[in-house]
Amino acid sequence: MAKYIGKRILMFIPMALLMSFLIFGGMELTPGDFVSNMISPDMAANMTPDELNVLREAYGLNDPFLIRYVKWLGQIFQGNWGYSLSSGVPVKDIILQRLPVTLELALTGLVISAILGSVLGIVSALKRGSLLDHTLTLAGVIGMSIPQFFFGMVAILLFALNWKIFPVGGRTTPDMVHWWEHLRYLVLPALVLGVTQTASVMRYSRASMMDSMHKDFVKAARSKGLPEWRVNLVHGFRVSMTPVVVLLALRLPMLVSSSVVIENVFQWPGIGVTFKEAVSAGNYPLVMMIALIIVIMVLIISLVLDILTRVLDPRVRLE
Amino acid sequence: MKKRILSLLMASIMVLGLAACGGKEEPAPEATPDTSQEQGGQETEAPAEQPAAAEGEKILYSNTGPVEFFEVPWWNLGQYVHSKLLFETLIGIDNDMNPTTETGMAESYELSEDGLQLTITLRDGLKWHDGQDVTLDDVVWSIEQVMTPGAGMANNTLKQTCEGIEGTQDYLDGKTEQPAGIELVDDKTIVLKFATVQPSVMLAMSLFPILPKHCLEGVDMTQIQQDPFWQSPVGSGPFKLEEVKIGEYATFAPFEDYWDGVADFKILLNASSAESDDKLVTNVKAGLIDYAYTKMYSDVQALRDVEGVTIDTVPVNYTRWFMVNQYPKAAGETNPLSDKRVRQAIAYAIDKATICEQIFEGAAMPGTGTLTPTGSNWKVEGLEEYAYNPDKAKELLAEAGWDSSRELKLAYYYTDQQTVDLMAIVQQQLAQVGIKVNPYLLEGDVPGQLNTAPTADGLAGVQWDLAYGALSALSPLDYYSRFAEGSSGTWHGPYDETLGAMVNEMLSTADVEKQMATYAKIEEYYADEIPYIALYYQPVWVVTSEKVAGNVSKWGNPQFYMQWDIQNWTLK
Amino acid sequence: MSGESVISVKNLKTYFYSENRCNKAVNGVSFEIERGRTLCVVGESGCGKSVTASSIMQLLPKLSRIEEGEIVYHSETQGDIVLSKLKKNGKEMRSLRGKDIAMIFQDPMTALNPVYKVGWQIMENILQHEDVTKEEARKRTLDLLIQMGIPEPEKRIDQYPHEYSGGMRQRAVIAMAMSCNPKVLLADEPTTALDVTIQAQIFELMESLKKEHNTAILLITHDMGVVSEMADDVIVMYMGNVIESGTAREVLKNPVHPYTRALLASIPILGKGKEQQIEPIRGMTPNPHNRPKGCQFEPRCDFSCDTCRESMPGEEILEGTHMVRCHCWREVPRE
Repeated sequence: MAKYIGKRILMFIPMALLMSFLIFGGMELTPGDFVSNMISPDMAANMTPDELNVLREAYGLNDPFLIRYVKWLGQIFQGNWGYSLSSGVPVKDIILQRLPVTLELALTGLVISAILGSVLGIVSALKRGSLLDHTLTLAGVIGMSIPQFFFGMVAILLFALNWKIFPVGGRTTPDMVHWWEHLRYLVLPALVLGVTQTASVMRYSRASMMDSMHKDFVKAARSKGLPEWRVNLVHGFRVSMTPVVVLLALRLPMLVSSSVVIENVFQWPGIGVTFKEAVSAGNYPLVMMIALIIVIMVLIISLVLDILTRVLDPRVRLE
Repeated sequence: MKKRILSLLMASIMVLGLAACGGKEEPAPEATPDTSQEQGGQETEAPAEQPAAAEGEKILYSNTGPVEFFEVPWWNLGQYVHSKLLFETLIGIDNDMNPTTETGMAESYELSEDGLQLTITLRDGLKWHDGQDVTLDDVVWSIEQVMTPGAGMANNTLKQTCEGIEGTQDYLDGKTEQPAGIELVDDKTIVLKFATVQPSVMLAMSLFPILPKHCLEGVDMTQIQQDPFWQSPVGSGPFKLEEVKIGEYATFAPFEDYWDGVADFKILLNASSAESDDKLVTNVKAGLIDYAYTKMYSDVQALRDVEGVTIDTVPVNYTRWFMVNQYPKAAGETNPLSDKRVRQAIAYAIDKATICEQIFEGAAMPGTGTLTPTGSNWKVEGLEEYAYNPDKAKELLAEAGWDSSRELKLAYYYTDQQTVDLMAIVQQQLAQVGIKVNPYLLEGDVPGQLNTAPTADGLAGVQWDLAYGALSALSPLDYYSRFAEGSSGTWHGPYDETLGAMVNEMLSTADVEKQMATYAKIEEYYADEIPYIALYYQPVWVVTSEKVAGNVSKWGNPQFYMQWDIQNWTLK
Repeated sequence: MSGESVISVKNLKTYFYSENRCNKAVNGVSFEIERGRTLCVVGESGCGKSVTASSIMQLLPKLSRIEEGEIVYHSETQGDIVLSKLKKNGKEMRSLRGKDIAMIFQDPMTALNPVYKVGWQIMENILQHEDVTKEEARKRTLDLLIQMGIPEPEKRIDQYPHEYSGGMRQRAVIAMAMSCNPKVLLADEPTTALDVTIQAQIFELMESLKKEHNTAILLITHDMGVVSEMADDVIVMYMGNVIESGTAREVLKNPVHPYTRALLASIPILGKGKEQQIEPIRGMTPNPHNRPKGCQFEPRCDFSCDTCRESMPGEEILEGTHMVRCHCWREVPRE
């Protein structure tokens, strides 16, 4: 086991390297660079190409692609994460400040979608063909097809502007003393994130649950005279949980990178918005590190998942 | 084994959770930690009004708080609220963008008859927020930074004006310690001597925020924005930074040593971009914005019926236009757009009045033959207005021998819905007179694609025929100064000697009356030539809550420094 | 059939409903299961054998129900209980399931939950029905594993099903079924998934359990070899009906129904050598939604007459308990 984990961790290095090269190359292929993005077209009307070139030189953008990549990589190997091109703030500081904020939102949303999705999925599977099942299926289809930002806007309109139960957005205010005071700000974005993610978890756990409810061991469990809840949960759900857990866990890094919309709608100061802005500004030191961290998260989570599926399903062997 | 892994997992989840929560337990960086005592006195005076304020202080909410950093105020001269709060301009500016001594650092100023010498005397007792005195050293240092080559973070008019100071080149070459044209009379008075007349000298100096030399000395001007200073800057304006959470909010406390009154409220800025705050409507409705301005008419539509919200229209120098490329794209060709009849035909063929009515419900004004916005006192009335006239357009096209199989490439770079609609309307209207247009979105290096000089053998440097763009002019002079020899106007069309000579005449004086006289001649000539076609002139809108009502009778252009006197407001 | 009946099935009709059609899977079946005896139910796939067993256990799938007839369990302590009238997953039914009546499933691979230890799954049955502590339940489980002949039971009890071999898994399933000493054991083709040597061991095991605990066994199979080996009584089912029944001796020595005879002819007989003729039954079982009007076997029968096409034959007693449903059994040539 330890050997296996060690081997997997060693594999991270070439994979992360490859990914970093691909991302760097991808950034290179997108039109425009940091300087052309920094200057608004209205302003640029008054700047000469020479002036722009002086700026490019200053930001080290005139070197060829490979040289810039190697320079960046060299920095990373020296433990230096670099500095944001736009603000000059160390990339490490930005990530350390923003990533936990996004993880807080993403994890809460994930937990909400996990609980809601699996409960509704189980109910739907057990009441297969009933009105409830059809209603949930329909709601799921609607839930999957309505964009997050729309959900967010409606939530803000109802809960924040009309009923004034929760704030419209943000995460902290200057008068907060205790850390839990900001949880009020977490409710709406986490709920919207969770609810919009619920549909797919529900579909998945419904399918998985139906699959396992047709298995002989469920009939066998029933033949032991076990009460229905025990048959459904202890035997049916427990087995159908493995694929659902895999789905959920794999979703976490995606949630981090795809939380842009929710963060934007709710003014949540997380890494998603930072990432989006860094990408559109061509701020490559920041983009590279965030992307790399997401890649490493995916790698770590897939490792944790392997171990977790081993725990959930004793048939699985690690090698 | 199983249990151990489960507990390991639980532990790591908890660690993550703690990390997420731990982030905000750290104290936020205090910008000026020594303000609490002075504040204490005011807290008791101010009656508790805002439920959101913990200690019963009054808080004014606004937007354009820092998303990544506080922007260097030399580029966008007052576009951000925080620039106006933290920094003060060298000479004051009033709401018509004229110099004044009612605001700003200068107690007095005098421009010589010939416009070549500007004498400025600073007020007594000006202080930086960190307690240091504001001195002429700061002024000189600021001027020297702006004139540094590659100072990407300085406004062009400001930069050109500073470069006009005598001895700039010698200073930049390292021959002198200080430009020869900067003369310190005593420790309060400075004389700036210009080598040539700087037409916008007064405007530039009244929009020139002075930065503290002692905080920024030695900084590389090309990367001044990346200096840590801009994470929590120190200025000399009416408010000082109290607490900042980059990307979330920034709070400002009244600066107790400000010369023109001390406010009895704090200011909180929500982080947002200055260009367009897409949370504006929501935050205004939620009471999180008491003052903001917007260029988006859709915001006005969303907010005009909200109770307690006032929307004021402020006319500004903002023109949306079609830039026209007159250079041929291949050797031996003639670009039909170099024929002014074709340009006139395009102007006639677009129903600008209906566009303003349909897209802006009449809030924008239709373009005429000249670039100056309708309502500006620089605009010359009675010139050809190019009202919608498709028959005339067809006539002109026939006269010019227009080849209707030719397709014009129309570039644009805004991505909002209004622009997309507008492009479709224009495409359809031009098609009606026989001009095929193909609109396309510019992506990537937009500045480079918009402004590239023609090649040595006279071929176009740009790919488009028409480009939908905007000019937010600091002064009306900016509309036509681009047609001077060698300026950006000549990148899209050959230098016009008649126009160029008039522009030179206008720019060779700092006397506003003389400038206006030449300006009128330029307008008259321009209305017939129309090198660029004005589509519409757009105002900006100032949105205020009940809290602010009654404090400002007339707004200046909120995109720049203005005389808004915010430190003396009374909040309701 | 003689002796003490433990389960009486009378005119059982179990129908399946799907896509607005009705499949009469079990269409009027009667038989008795007797204490200490093995009743074999024989027939091809789809003849209704498994549905009959599921009907007794009330473990029918959602879209099926007992339409007519009754199933009575003659309990030694509680008197007669009409199983077919109990609520499917009600308390009474559940208290009998796994305790008085237990079931062994066809495929031990799928009958054990893959994510729980084998011992845990057996204990679950004991703890469900008996008021014992976990330690006692574990002790009993261990005893069961020993009784089933599972090697290294102390180690095996804490292993997962996938760590067991196929034969061991079926022993574990039987252990689970036997854990509360049931009065009736329903075994639904318990050895189909196993190889022949293991098969023999499993049957031996069941045989000894029957002798020891006087358990009644309902053994479902399609294998006539198994029948001759195990059965005390036999019923032959075809398309939801019993077409021939009696003691093993009566039916196997003197099969009268053409279908029974065909079934017997379709299996090789041990010792006859590789030259023996094996005759598969010609044709296919009819579509349950589109049944023949008369005798269900008529389309495949070599001896059918016009009457066969017209009506379903009634029950006819040949001698003793030997029953047959065939119009033309007299015409069928005897060997």
